[in-house]
This record gives sequence, structure tokens and C-alpha cells, in this order.
Amino acid sequence: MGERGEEWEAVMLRKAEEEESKAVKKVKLVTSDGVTMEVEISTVKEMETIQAFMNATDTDNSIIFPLPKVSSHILSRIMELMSGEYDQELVKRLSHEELKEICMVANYLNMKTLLHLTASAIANLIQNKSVEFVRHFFNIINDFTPEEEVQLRKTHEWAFEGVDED
Amino acid sequence: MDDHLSSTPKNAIGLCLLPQELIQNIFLSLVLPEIVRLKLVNKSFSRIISDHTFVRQCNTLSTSTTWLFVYKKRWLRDAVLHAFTDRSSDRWFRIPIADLLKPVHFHGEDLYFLAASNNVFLFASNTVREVVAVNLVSVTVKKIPPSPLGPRGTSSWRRSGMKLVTEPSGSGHFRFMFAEFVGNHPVLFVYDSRTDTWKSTEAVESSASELSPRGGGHVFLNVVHGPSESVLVASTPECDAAVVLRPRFNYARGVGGNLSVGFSWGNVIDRLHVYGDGYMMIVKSEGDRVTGEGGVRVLKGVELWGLSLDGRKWEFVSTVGGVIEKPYAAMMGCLEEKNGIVMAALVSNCGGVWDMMWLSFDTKWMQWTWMPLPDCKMKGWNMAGISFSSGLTLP
Repeated sequence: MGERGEEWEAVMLRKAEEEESKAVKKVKLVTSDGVTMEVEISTVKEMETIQAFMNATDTDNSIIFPLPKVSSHILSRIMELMSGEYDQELVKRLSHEELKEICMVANYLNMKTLLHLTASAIANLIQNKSVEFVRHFFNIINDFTPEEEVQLRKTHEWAFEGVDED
Repeated sequence: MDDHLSSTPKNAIGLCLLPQELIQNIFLSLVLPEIVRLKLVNKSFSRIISDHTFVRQCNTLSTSTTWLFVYKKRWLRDAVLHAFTDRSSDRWFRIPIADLLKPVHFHGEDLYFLAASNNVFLFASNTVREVVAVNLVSVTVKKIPPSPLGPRGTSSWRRSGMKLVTEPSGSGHFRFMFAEFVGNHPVLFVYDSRTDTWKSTEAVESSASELSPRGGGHVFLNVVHGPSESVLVASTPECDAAVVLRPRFNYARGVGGNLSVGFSWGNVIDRLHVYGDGYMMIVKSEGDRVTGEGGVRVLKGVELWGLSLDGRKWEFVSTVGGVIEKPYAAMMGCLEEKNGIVMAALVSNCGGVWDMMWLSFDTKWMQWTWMPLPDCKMKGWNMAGISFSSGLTLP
């Protein structure tokens, strides 16, 4: 009985601490365009890169985390996706630029669910599309010489027919 | 000074920051023709796709992917293979092969598509009566010497009586086997691409203790089918021994229910039998060939039967639950088993319009799934062969 009671007490204590820290700790994210966004600590849980930083810096005060590679527009899109529980429909509404940027940010902040979701959305977009479409999509400049390109096309000729319209 | 920096699109820089694993993960959701195509995007993509770890991952995924290949043509010059996979189930891939076949000089002759496995595709010619092996990925074509039975026309090849097996090592080497009666006795013929020779083995009658479980890696080649008994040749994948199996078929005892009433092999109930890998699919239809509208029949049900463990009888496995009703004038099919999944494609034609259906049965969970395949734009064309195959692989 005694042991049980102690255990119970410990759990309650931990809960109270958590509540308290929730109330105190806020995370301020500063975007590349200088906008400061204050978010709940629970929101940051999924951002493993920030989480790791917070675990390392044991502070009671609010944390300011600069995101020099993330614009406020993209960050608010990410917040929308998170609060919408990563609805596929929301992902479909993103522009190609937004999708790519969010994928990169998800990778940078190590957000697993978002990364998986955006990566498969990109795969869906480029599936069975022409080489030109993929280059355009990723803003990639073709660095093959015309001769190399002809040679490659010839080697893999069987794979190039019947692509979808761009 | 900063000219070349500012002319580089900003996301090209961004994309390079994505780790290779992430890009590879995106690519792994695609199927092989799409991945191969991406090699052409730029040198960095090409490098990522040629990376050994990626090739291995991709091929592992690919070999467990099933493809259905349909060869359609009007003339040889526009011959094209259509490929469908359930991993990318809303489209057919077009694989042009007329150019690939050019080196073998068939002089505009008609070819028939016999079998496919991995990257190897076999075609038979009717007038020259030869078989050629095309490797899509290594882009090679090779004539296979005539079998010990001599040159064969396309009509001599029976789909359920032959099998193409490629080496799992990815070497591109393969064995092509078929079974045929020679002087009243079933014989197994095996071509090995490593030696470029044929070997024939007379199949021996199976003893009571011999077991050749279906789905256990054995190769089952059908020789003949009667209404109550079939003759098959079973062999190990290495083709070192061949055994004759004579499974009996008792339809009335096998299934209860109204469709097994009597033995109406006439025009009331039609049965199409599709054989492969020790399985037999019975496709039942109703209709009247003579008085029906243009000879239209209606598909009513599909049953799956399999060889018993001792190979002495066909035993009932499962019937498709639910109703698949489909009017048709002519139907054919092919069937293959792999990793415990039985897959069948049923191709029907009704008034010149082709229709295809993909059925699969999971032998472990005893579960059926089926789907109509997207339009393959076959109208006005001829179908010259159909085959399942495991996925294509990167070299």
C-alpha cells in the first residue's frame, strides 16, 4: 500500500510539473522574413530538431528559435497542415513551390509525418511524367551534353513512351 | 561576379540540400520505367539512381512487384508491349519493342509473345518458326536454337505448358522449359541460356510417396487436359528431374451449390479453364452461343482449384465471393502463382471491345481481390500474347 501511494504521488507530482512547464514555456519561432511566431510547446514536439535543442538547453524561460531558412508563409502552411492532422486534401491544395519547400523544411526540422506525407505527394506528382516536367518541377538544369542525352535515351528507349501530359 | 550564382535557380540549391536518402525514398514510390526515365534529368539524379544501395532496394521492391504484359499489334513495325502493375494501378505503360527486335531481321514478320520473367521476354515467329529472347534492360536480342522437337510455329506453344525462369542473381541468364507428349510419353524440354543448349528429360511416373506441393517452388507444366483427368509434368526449378502427375477431376464432388449440377459441358453452362503453376481457374458463364445476341455469354462465377499434395487429384480451393457479371463473346486468360498469391488475368472481347480483369487470391488469408484494368486502347488491334512477370530490375 505504502509503495503504491508513493508511486501515485510521484505521478501526480510529475503531472503538475508538466502542467506548470506548459504554462510557462512557449516557443518563439523567428522566420527568415523576421516574423516571430509564438507556438505551444506541444506543437514543437514533432519538430525533432527543435526538440533536441530544447532538451539540450535546460531553461525555464521562453525559447527563441531562429529559422533562417523558413519563411513565415511556409511556416504558417506547416501549422495549418499540423492542425488539420495532415489531411491529404490540404496537401493537394499546396502549390508545387510550397510542397517542395515544406518537404525541405520537414527534412530540416526532422518532422517525420510531414516528411513522409510531402515526399509521397512529390512522388505522385512526378510519376509517369516526362523528363522535362521533372526538370521543371525541381528547377533542375540539364547538365548532360546533347550527345550524352541521345546516348542515354537510346540505352533506355523502352522506358520513354507513353508518359502523361505535363 | 555573382553572375553564375544568381542564375542558378534557388530551389536547385535547395534540392541539393535534401539528403540523398530522401530523394531515393521519393523515387522508390515510383515503378521502374519511371525511375529509369529520371536518369535523364541531370547527372546528379543519374548518380543517385545508379547508387548500389539504391539499386538493391529498388530491385528488391521490384521483384515482388507483379506486372501483366500484353503484346498488341497491327503490324510488326508498330508492335508494342503494354505493361500494367497493381503498384501503379491507373495506367498502362507502353514499351515499344519494334526497334529492339530489329537486329534479328524478321522481315516484317508477325511475332507472338510467349512468356516473360524479370527483364527477359520471349517471342515466337510463325513463318521462320524461331524463338527470340529480348532483354529490355541490357537491350539485347538473341535467337534461341530450335528445340529437340525442331522448329515450332506459334500455334504449337501452349501458355500453360511452358515456363520462363530467370536467374535471381540478375545475370540476365534464364531457363525456358516446356512439356510435350513425345511418342505417348511426357517429356520435359529445357533450354539454358548459359550453355545455349536444350536438354530433354523423359518424365517418370510419380510414386505414391512423392510430394510436389503447389506453391513450393516446383514448376508445373501442363501437357493435356481431359474432362476428368489432366497430365502435368512437375520439375524442380533446377530441372534435374521430371515427374508425371495425372490429377483426376471430379467437379460434382468438389463443390456444393447450384452451379455444379450435372455435367453440362454444352451451351447452358460454359467453363473456361485457365491453368498455371499447379492451379486451375474455372470461369463459368451462361449463355447460348447459337441463339444469343451475337454469341454473347455472361460470366457468372470464378473458382480456383489446385493440385493435391500427392498430385493425384484437383482439389477445390476457393470461389470468388460476390458477383462478377460480364457479357462477352470470347474470353481467354493466364494464371500465375508467386509467393502464395495466385494472379489471373481474364481478357474478353465483346463486339470488338477488349476488356481485362485482374484477379488475385491470397492463399494464406484465403482472400480474393479483383479489379477491372484501365482501357488499353486495343480496339482494332490484335492481341498477340499475354503474360505475368515479376518486376523489371535495374542492372
